Amino acid sequence: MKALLVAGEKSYLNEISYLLKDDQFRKSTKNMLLCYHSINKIIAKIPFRIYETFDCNEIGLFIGTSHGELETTKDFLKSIGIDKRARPFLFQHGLHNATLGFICQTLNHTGPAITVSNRFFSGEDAIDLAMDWLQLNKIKIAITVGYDSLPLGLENQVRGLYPQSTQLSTGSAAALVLANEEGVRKILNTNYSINLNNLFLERITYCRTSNARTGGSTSTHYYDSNAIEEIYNNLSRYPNHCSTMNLQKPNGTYSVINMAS
Amino acid sequence: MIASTTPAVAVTGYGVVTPHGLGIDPLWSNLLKRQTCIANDTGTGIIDQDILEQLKYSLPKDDGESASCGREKSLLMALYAIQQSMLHAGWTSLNSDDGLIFATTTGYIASWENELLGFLSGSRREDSFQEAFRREPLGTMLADICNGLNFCGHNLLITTACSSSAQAIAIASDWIRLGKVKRCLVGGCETLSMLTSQGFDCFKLLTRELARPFDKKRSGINLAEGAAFICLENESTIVDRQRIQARILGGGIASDAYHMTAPHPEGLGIYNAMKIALNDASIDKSEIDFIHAHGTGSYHNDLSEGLAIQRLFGEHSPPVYSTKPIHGHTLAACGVIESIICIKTLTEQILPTNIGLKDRDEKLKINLPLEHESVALKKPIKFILKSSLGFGGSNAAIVLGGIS
Repeated sequence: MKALLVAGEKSYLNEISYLLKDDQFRKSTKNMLLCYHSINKIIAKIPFRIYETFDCNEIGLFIGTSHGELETTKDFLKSIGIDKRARPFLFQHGLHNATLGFICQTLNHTGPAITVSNRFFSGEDAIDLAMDWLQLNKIKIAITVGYDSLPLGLENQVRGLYPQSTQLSTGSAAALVLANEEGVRKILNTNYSINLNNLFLERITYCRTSNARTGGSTSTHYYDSNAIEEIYNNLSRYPNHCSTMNLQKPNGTYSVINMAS
Repeated sequence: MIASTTPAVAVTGYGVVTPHGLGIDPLWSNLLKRQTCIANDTGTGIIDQDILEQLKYSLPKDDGESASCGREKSLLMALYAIQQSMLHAGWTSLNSDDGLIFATTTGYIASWENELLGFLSGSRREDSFQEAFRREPLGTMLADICNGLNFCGHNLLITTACSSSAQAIAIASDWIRLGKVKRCLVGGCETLSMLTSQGFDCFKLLTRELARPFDKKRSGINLAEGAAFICLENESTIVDRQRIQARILGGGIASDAYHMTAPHPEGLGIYNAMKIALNDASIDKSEIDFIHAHGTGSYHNDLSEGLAIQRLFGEHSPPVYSTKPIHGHTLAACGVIESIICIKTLTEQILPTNIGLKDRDEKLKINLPLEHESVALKKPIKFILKSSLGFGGSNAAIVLGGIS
């Protein structure tokens, strides 16, 4: 199975400070804005409009995260358990699926949308699910997003879940847009001059062994769903290049991602 | 569109744990007797200590390190439901070419949220909190399930709130259709926690009375605990046809894009999900014999869902039922628990009842049998549409079919 990688982007916390001050997003979490910013950067740079080119049911949204909206969950529990004053919007923003709900609402995305969470493979699972749907032609184009951030007040506790050598990101998100053949045809029919990254992302396979392989991380800081960022980084450095990426995980397992032009 | 040579997906086994007890029998017999598990004083359904002790005795003692007696309640529930479903299906173990899809909203949170509060207030030491906090990532529970089964094949965790396990069933069917896995175990688990109880309560969504889905005077939701799994297989590989309990014919997933908690006022997302599911199943809406609704008893959910059904099916819809007054709202697990009720309906050819529905919401012009009305079966029940709605505007629908 091959899916065409159309575009990718990533975002870090320092990039969204202007959004955090925006009144429109005053109740949004940093995770929501990280994902939103990543997707917006893609939308700004691709020479076609995803939500105009495709019908709503042809666009899938797949989000992978390990810790979800943990900071907001913590704040809600604190509001009821310690402050003794429940704050409803903290609950609604505190579930893992809250980020997906926010993105759907902000983009007016009414197509299929799914949140996955599988520790170190959260990013891979989001991509894998998107590729399944593209292969079945249930959708023609997919937006996959991976995010995680260190929750304020629980930074040490989250760090404690990883080996000491792991440099965790304070907050990052990355997004990829994938399309199948029919999706590509639709994109090419938009009459824009398309400059697609001509790489085909093959199916991801997982291997769970303790054999460390070469090909270390290209990200400066790690988060569980960063496979998406790793793919984007790899493409940015080596466009039109066949490669196999071995993403080593903090627990010694790894995933293999094959890319061929 | 899926090719006509795409394999059909059969349900060959299921297992369930609810406050009614272990397995489908107590749940089904109480459903027929119209007996709820929802407590009068709290309006919730809890897996009590008796059932928990039975769970511990029922599980094998030599499952490996993660299956020791220090297991979390939710893990015990999930492992029991898996054990029962595999027994029912005749599976002795999971192979590397099998799949496992798990759905949960909160995972192990009931085991660490109090520790968190203790830590934040200064009454818990950091190291003791850290030990409990190990269970924070949802993927930890999936890993424990896989370790408990000695399974290392394709696995996935879906967390789209209350539509999670319905989405999981749709995705599991796709895995089999794609040939990605030969068989797939799919299910969900939820235990009550401070997060969910207080969260729903602060939205004024709960009621201490019995929930009354679609009733004019409905006042809210009864939260409950539960776990369930079903075994799915490629039907063409099944030699002993008697193993087939039902079929998963199609699934649909769509979003509201409206609000973080309130459903779209006209049920746009669930309408789309139902349409996609029917299309995926290649079933015309006129062939649906009954609709098992999400029907939580909350004003907005039931209104949105009812309007969506009305828009899709018109006034002469198939009968619409919700069984949540019997077993409660089990959040991420509700899709699979209620799908098992649908499977049982297909095999027993007995329709459920709308407990608590005494006076229909007049805004809904759909076929809603009242509590005291029994619907005579004019023809065999062959196709059921199951719908699920979740926070974040996540919706899913599944079409189930009988074995004839």
